[in-house]
Amino acid sequence: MFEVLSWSYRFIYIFIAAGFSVSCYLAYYKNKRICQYLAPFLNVILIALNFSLISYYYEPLDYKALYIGGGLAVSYIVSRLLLGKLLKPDNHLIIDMVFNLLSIGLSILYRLSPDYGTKQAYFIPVGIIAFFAVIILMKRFEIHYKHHLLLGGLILALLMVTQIWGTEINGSKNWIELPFANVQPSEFIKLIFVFFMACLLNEELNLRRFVIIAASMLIIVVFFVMQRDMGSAFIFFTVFLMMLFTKDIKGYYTAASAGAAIGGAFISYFAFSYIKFRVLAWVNPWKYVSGKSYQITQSLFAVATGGLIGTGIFLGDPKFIPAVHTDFIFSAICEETGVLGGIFLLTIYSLLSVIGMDISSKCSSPIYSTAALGLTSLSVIQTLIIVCGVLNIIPITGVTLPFISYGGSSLLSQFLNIGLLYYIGSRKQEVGANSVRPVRGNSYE
Amino acid sequence: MNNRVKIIKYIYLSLFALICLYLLYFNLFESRVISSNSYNRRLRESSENIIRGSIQDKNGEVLVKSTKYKSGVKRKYIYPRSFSHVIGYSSKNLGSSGLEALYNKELMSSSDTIEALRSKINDYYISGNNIKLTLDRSLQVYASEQLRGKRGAIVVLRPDTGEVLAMVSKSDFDPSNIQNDWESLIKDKKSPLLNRAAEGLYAPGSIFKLVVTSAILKNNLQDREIECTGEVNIGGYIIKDNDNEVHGKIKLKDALKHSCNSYFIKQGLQLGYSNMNNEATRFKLNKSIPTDIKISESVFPNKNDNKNVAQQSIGQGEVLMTPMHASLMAAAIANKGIMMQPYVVSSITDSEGKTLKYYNPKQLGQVMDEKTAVIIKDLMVEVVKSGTGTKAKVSKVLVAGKTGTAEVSGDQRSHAWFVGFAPADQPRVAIAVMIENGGGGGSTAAPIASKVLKKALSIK
Repeated sequence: MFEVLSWSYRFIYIFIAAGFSVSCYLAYYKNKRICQYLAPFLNVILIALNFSLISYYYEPLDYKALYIGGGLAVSYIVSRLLLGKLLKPDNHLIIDMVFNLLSIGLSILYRLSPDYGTKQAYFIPVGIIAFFAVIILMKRFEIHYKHHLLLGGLILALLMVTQIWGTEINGSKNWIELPFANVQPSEFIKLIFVFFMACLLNEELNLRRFVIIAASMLIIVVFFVMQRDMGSAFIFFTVFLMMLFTKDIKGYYTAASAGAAIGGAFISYFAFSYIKFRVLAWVNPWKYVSGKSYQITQSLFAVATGGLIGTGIFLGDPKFIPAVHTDFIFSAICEETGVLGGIFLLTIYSLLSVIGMDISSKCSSPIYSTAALGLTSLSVIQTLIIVCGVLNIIPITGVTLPFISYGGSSLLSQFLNIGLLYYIGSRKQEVGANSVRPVRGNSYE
Repeated sequence: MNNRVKIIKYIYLSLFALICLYLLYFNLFESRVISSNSYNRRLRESSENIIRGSIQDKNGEVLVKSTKYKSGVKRKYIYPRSFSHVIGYSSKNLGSSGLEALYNKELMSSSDTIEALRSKINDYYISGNNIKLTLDRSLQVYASEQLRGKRGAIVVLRPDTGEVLAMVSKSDFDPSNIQNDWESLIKDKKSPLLNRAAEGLYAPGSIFKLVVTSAILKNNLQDREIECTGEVNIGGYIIKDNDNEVHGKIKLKDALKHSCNSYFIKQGLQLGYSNMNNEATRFKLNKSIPTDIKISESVFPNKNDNKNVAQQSIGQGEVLMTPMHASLMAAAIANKGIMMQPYVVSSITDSEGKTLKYYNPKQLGQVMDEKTAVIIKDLMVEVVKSGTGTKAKVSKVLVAGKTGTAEVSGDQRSHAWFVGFAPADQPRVAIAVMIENGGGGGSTAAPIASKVLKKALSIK
């Protein structure tokens, strides 16, 4: 009976996912009140149906799946209510979309491995607490240019700690083993880095300043290369380029940095055999189908087998893909909920990026505006490189898919990121001391 | 600065949109080929619960079937050596080839989707769909015997429909023993795994003169008389006739009958590269032939100096054809100039015998007009009656044909070719025979063609 249910549920799933995406867009752009209620309603339905189906797969019923789904729904509703009390304006759209990603991610993770799913479920409340904590914390502090030394020092310290005490997991030496969990400092360095760069870029950009910025960037990238964490190096550098681009009127400095990055990419291709391997596996995946392209071809098989609306949950074989719960989770989603499931996921990410960029546009304080751009770029670029990677559009780089892949540090960092964005979005009414332009009213709630 | 933020915002948005479009494109145009790749373990995983469908010949005689035993499912190839390449092998570790690979999806799927899902979850067995071929078992086995101990290929097909009746390639392998033989098979210099009939590319030699003849007729050069001195000198490069024969003053009819090189070289040079290339393209050289099996593209080289054009006129000089294509060339002449698409699978039926899909004959195109086809047919009848192809005669039947003896580099013997069809006035079968390093076409390939044609005409 299960297979019939799951097979038919594909259609319902796509219908709900499409409805959710559309109502989010209408709520944001057209300010449709009905959609503001429709989106959370669909979200709760999605959580309920997904986890009920997963629970039904097991015989007897898997109550743990039901508890997790229930817990997720409750924490969603509580966060949503709390947010209204805590912040004005109470823009719920971001939280709706984040929980949509979480519910899809958690149900797929639980389906792939109840172990990983359960662990991830414990991280979610931690993330939610961090989300609120960072908002409350940021309200008490105002970041100024003078803080750049402090932030830079913090980054350096964390990098050194990783370099000295780091352990190697999956080929990258970027983990710190703590008694209760393994932490990936680079996930948190990202956030500090964005504010650090926002401070540096706040001052007038001249050659001397650019040299300072470029030098600090170089130090960070060198650390990541030493830790064989090319994914982070790439994300940091691209985010840096985006932030630089907004301040660099003539564009010379951005062009020079981009040129240096391309040069660096060429050198690393020849210097590091594992990068060369990945590029070769990307150029001709079918030639090395049982060797170095094994992962990527398995991922392509998954997406190809899924078709338009997928095989149905539990009816595909996404576990054939190595590392499917972290890097390749998007392929698993495409296999079981179809290419359309993947597309609706991407529309949610793109609306999140639009909201982030609009927060940056509307923010009156230059440092916070640049920081909002950096924070948004962090998650957008990370999403783009992993999605393009698993579809073999670009060589594969092992990074997580925000809010979906398994990983505590990554999830925590994403919650902090969204919390910071939320805070910056709420700032725009308090007219900052150094703002020159009058602030327009909140036009997007 | 706000402008810059907007620029970045739209860059991000368009990148997301592009990925969505790519996903749709991937789903529409790439996913079918990718998911049927033999390395896709999903196909095999589902095979644990599906008893692979059987493959039958045109009369419904079973050629390959799977049976369920306690220890698992065993696939039995009833005529392993005669059908090695057409049907291919299917192995867990080595992937699959031939029809086993191309129709894997059909053989491994059941028409009842829900039933298939149910069997997968609850772990019981159901039967996959069966495929029915256009091949005739008795003809295939007979043709296979004719090539025993040789390397070569035979293709027999119906000119009016394109149904392939036999497709044999030697040397062969035993698909049921592929696991044990693999190491020796891939090392074997005779390349037993290669399907010579459809994927082997060979210099066609004189059988290509049929294409040149068609060009001659189209350009009204058939009445030109040419002096054959036994050799042609193109800027110091000398091409001789077979056995240095001197044919004297000669016209098209006798030139084709005796396969006179000098005549075709001089006519080829008169026609020029572009006319020759156009004619070759019309005959589908350098083009992929749409079909349900894997066929290599035949080659007409892009070299237009006199020395090369001279060689091309007699089917040498890097002109390459597959035996399958050679049989299509003969079939087009038999079928009033219309080339039919070859195919080997005629229908797919489910485990209860209900037909799920029929494959109908399709035209590849008109490669020459009917008048030209009739003239060439008459010339080919002469070749078998009193020319180079007399050994292809079949008693009481008028055979049309053309021999070829394609020179190969080094000291090896020539490839022997024969293409033709019978009965000439109402063609029912067309044939191509190719023996690798077999020597003369008239002496080696023509007698085999005669026997196979006789057998092919005896079946219904």
